Amino acid sequence: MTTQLTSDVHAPTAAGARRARSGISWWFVVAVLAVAATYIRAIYFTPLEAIQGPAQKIYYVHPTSAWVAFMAFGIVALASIGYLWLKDLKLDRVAESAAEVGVVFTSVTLVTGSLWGKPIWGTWWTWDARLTLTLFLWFIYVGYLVLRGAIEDREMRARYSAVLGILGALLIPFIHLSVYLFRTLHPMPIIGKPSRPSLPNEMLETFALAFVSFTILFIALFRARYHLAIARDELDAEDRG
Amino acid sequence: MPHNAGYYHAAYIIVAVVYGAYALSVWLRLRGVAAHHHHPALGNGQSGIGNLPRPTTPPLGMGNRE
Repeated sequence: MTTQLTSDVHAPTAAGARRARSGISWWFVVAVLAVAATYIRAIYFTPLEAIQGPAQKIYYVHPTSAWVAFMAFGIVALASIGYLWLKDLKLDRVAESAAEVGVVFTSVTLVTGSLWGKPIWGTWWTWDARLTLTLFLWFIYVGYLVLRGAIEDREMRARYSAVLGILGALLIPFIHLSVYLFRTLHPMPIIGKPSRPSLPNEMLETFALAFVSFTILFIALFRARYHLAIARDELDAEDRG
Repeated sequence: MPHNAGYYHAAYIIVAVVYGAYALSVWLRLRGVAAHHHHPALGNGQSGIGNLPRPTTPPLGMGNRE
């Protein structure tokens, strides 16, 4: 009896349930294959760097994760601007999803950077400008997610988090330029610079494969997280209705 | 050449574990929401997060408002 009444009240939608299940897609299959190919190529078919040794292979997962994280937070900023302008909740869901995935990629960036710093710099962490700003970026978007979890009202949550999402992304150019603006331990860009990449072709190809792989992984995770955001909003709407 | 392969082995394992764990967390949350869509009050009758009661206040962290 209770189940029947509750079901009538909530009127579960088949579309909502289907959407909630459909987040796992062939994008994940492609992403897993691409990342596996990157690992195999990086481990077995890419030469060792003469001075740094095997630890240099962290290069294929560290800056690639950082670039994808920056892309994610760029999406947060653009979607947030769009939301404040158009008041379309789809854009808020895009921002929410990109922010969460971006935090995961930033976490990987910080951890892999630390693992690279220990053998090369002799320390797990230093309060270098780029490292500190990246940590600050991570805190901002963790704060963004906490803020979203703390506000019940849907419109207010979207509006406040949009402002924070835009402000947080303003850090990204400073992080990229920090190695030029400050004296830092962190090396200058090898690829993201106006002149030609200073890498041998084998390493450059592995890096390109890693970049594509992690971008596909981002798309897969983002799509799944976006489906989750839609399904949750539908569930909340049913609860209110 | 320095012998520091352990650091990159650790990095590659951590990368796989973190992304895999996050993908799993999204999948579990999707399952939970799908279960609520089917049986909003009781879950889906199977084991898993679909059977957990919905909290009245949102927990903090990672945007989890369920």
